Amino acid sequence: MANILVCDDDKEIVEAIEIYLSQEGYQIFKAYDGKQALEILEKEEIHLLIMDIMMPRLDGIRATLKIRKSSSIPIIILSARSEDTDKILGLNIGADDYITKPFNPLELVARVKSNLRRYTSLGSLNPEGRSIYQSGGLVINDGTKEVTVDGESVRLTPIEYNILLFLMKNQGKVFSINEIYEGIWNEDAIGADNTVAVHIHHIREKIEINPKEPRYLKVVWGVGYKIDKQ
Amino acid sequence: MSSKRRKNFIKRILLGLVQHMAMALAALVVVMVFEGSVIRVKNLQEDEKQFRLNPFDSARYFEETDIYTEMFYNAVSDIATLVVFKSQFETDGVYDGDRLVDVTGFVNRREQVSDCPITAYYRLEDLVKWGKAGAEMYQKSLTKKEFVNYFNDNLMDISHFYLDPETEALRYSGTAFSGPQEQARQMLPADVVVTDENEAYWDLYMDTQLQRLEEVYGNYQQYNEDQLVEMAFSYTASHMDKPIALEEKNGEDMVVIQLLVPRYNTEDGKQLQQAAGDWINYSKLEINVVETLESLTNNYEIYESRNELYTSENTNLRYLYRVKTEDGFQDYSNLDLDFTVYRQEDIDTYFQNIGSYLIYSVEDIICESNVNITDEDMMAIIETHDYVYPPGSFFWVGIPDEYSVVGDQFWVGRQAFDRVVLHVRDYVAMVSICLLIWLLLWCFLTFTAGRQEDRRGQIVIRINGFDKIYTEFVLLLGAGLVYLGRYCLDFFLINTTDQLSRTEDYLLVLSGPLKWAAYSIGAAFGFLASMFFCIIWYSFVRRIKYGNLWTDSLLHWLFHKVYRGISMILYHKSTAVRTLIPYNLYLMANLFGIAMAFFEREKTSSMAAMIFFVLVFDAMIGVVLFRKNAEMGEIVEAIKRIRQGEVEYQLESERMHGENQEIAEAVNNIGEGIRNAVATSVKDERLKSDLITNVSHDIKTPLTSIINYVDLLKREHIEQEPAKGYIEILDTKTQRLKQLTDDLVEASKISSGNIVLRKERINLTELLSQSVGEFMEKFEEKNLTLVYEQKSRDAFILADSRRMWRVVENLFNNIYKYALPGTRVYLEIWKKAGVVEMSIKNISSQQLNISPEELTERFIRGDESRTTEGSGLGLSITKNLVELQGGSFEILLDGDLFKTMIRFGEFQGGHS
Repeated sequence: MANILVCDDDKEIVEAIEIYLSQEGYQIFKAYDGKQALEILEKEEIHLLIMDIMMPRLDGIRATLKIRKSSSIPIIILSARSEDTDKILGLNIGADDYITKPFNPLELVARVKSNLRRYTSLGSLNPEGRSIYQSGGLVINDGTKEVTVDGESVRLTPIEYNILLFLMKNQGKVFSINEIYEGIWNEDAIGADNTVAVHIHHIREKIEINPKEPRYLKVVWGVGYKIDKQ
Repeated sequence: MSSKRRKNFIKRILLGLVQHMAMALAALVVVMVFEGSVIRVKNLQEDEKQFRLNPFDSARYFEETDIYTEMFYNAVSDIATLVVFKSQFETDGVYDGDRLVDVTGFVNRREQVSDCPITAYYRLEDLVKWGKAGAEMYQKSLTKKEFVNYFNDNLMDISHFYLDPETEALRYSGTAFSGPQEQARQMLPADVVVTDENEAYWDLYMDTQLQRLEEVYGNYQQYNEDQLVEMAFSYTASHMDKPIALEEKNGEDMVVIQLLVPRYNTEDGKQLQQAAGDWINYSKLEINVVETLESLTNNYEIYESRNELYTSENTNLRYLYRVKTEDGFQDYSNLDLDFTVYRQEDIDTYFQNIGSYLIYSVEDIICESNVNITDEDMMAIIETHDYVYPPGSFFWVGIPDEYSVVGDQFWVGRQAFDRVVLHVRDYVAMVSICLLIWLLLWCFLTFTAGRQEDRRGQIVIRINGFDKIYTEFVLLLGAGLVYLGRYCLDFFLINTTDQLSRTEDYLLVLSGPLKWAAYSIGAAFGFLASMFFCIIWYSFVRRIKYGNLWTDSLLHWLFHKVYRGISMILYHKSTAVRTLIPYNLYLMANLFGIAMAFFEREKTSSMAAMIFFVLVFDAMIGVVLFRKNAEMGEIVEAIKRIRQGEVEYQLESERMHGENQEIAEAVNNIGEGIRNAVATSVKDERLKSDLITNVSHDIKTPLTSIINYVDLLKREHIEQEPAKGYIEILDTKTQRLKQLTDDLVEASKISSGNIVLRKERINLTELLSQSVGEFMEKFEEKNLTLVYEQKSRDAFILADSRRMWRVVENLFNNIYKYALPGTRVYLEIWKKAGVVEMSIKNISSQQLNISPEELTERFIRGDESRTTEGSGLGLSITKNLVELQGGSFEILLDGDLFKTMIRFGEFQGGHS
């Protein structure tokens, strides 16, 4: 199994994460500041790093910058700073994911798994063929009617599948509810109720780790929905 | 207004009404008395004659009143005229159309002398008919010769010419020259009667005539016909009483003359021209005929229409007019008695016993009567008709007191007398009572005017809006009303009573159908006069009682203004000294300069210099004033800018002068002060926000551990109670603590404005649809039915889409948390006049005993107990977010109905 380094100045949080992740079978290394983390990274073979920002001696941002000079392992920042600016900063300097404290343990585990899958199986997919559409870890194979997220298959209803396929075929473009309705049902949207929005809500719950902060099926509020090219 | 005050108000109104009604009644009675005292009777000469009774006449009987005398006199005069007409139109008391009328005699009936030597007799009926048809004229055009010979060819005969005794020149005479006849007459002894049969005379006449003709003939021969015609024409033209005109036609002088159309012939079948014989007589006779026609017809018309007025059936009056004629007497009477058989004394006795009587002898000019008619009065009557009433004529007139003929003038007068004069006391009493009532109410209302009880039952003086109008205006109004009232009074009452003889001059004559109009106008006048007087009077009383008679007057206002002006000058002594003294000096300098220039006007150069100095001086003053005002304008502008938030604005105070420099510096200081204050406040707010953010971070770290270990505890599957329950509580409370810290940070940031908005064009309808999609499951979980009504499919607004989502999410979360399960939630969106509005309505599960304003304050929730989930910051965040984005947020509570409204201006631009 993978080796995961957890780095936080709060020992109890590190302990807790250890409990969750070791239940999933991962090997956990612990560090309590940036310096320690860097030392462990040099010594051990680490597959994924979970790191706080505010730490003594060397903070998470500087540590990430240093790590990125030599390594491309997935880094998940775990911080109490929940401002947009903090998240953008963290992701821009090289972090792969950003989780705010207090976090949901299940979400943390899911994100760890997702990042590991992408790290380990990156490039192994063969996106050739017309009936396969991909955006990041989300792959939809129209030939086999199969949807996978980071390699794990997801079960969707036919309508949900059609909506997702429609958005995947038109990546990067924003569609309003009516446009989606018309694109899928080929009917005028007059009288279209809230079904599309509800379906999309369901799809997000199925394909996203945290539906409120979706990675694939994004809500453009007041305009529509889209799936970004990744 | 309390019920007591209202009652009092109504009482005053009603009492006022009673008061005005009393005045109206009084006025009505007065009008009735005056109107009732007017007597309208038929008259011979006029359609109607009016008499007015004196309502306060002391006479006990109608016959004693002046008006009775007046009417009596009028009747005597009428009958005198009527008798004249009768003498003209009647034979033996019956109209006689065959009577012959001597035209010349009729015209000259008064003078009895005429310059018209001839006359014509017409039948009366012919003249009346002719007069009714009108005297028509026609135009005749003749040559001079035709004109001269119009009546007779021999008018150019030598016998019409004679020699002027002095100049011996030939002259024309209209008639055959009468010289020979007179000479012949003079040659005869005086006692010889000259007739055509008298041969001696005839011989003499012929002799002288011949002699004369011989004399004339020589002269006559020397003139040609035209000259003779001209001589005859000019003579005739100058002696005629009619105008003639000369017109040139085909090179010849034509005489144009207007002639009367002879509609009827004379009694012996002749036309008027035949009767005349020559132009001179014709012209006179024609005038007489025309005058007769006019006068006779006029008389006839009166006679015809009013002859019946004084017959015994139509009047109570009895008369006998005995007119002396050449052969005795002619009697005119309305009594069926042959008075010729009575002696004069018997007739006297008969009339003396009638009641009111009058006996008049034309010859003696003595009037015997028990009515107050004098000899002079009678003379005045006779004067105009004295040709009919020669000396020896007598009048007897009498009126019995019983007035057995109903409807004649005396009966009418008697009725009016009984109605008005005999009851005048009743009327006076009525008017007095009305006035007394009015006066009593007036006293009472004057005393109580403005007095009202306040809440504590104390009497206070209150005034109304009318009492606040400037006193002078009310006085002016009063004066205007008095003037108007007087005008109306003149118009309606005085004119129609005091000047009845000229009633035709006035619009409103009090007669017949207009009587009731007069009564109502009188009553209305009384009512309005009383009302207006009282309104103004009570207002003055209230003003005096309240004490604002003076304070609410124009004079007071003026006085106050002047006083304020003086006080201001005194208060701002230094300013007054600084401005008024230079101002006056400036004026004086100008005046002095102009005066000097005027005195030096002889010397052009020094005058020019003087004017130049004055102009330069004025220009300098002007520049100084302009600079001062310009600087002041800058200062005002600066203050305006600072007030609008441009606190960095600075004035260049060094450039300014005098006072303005001080002010500018002060304004700069104020600006700086505000700047500092704003900066401090912004800094404080940011610090506060940062503090909250940092604190929340510090809370979050231990909170993370708590949450995680609680979760780990849960995973231990501890089934034993109460440990399991404790873990549950720990779980929910830590979740809430987490929510609380997040919300706290957000709320503080939003309220301090410490967030960055990314505004873009979004479709609120779409956003709501998306939000509904997100919340559908949660609502279903609580069994809430959402009714989403999109009245506008496209409702574009300019807002930060994620913040808008946050707003809607908050509201939906609120509903999820606080709506009564199993109810409906109404979501509506519509556009109206460029405004996008959305509303959400739901039924609250808890009673909301809190105001909408409090709900949006921080940490307030619908349930004050703070036991349920939620931080209490939701609505505060929502409101602040909406307002930060330029929208408005409103909460309406109606019982358990909880309604939120959001309004945004519709975004008209394209995609951004």
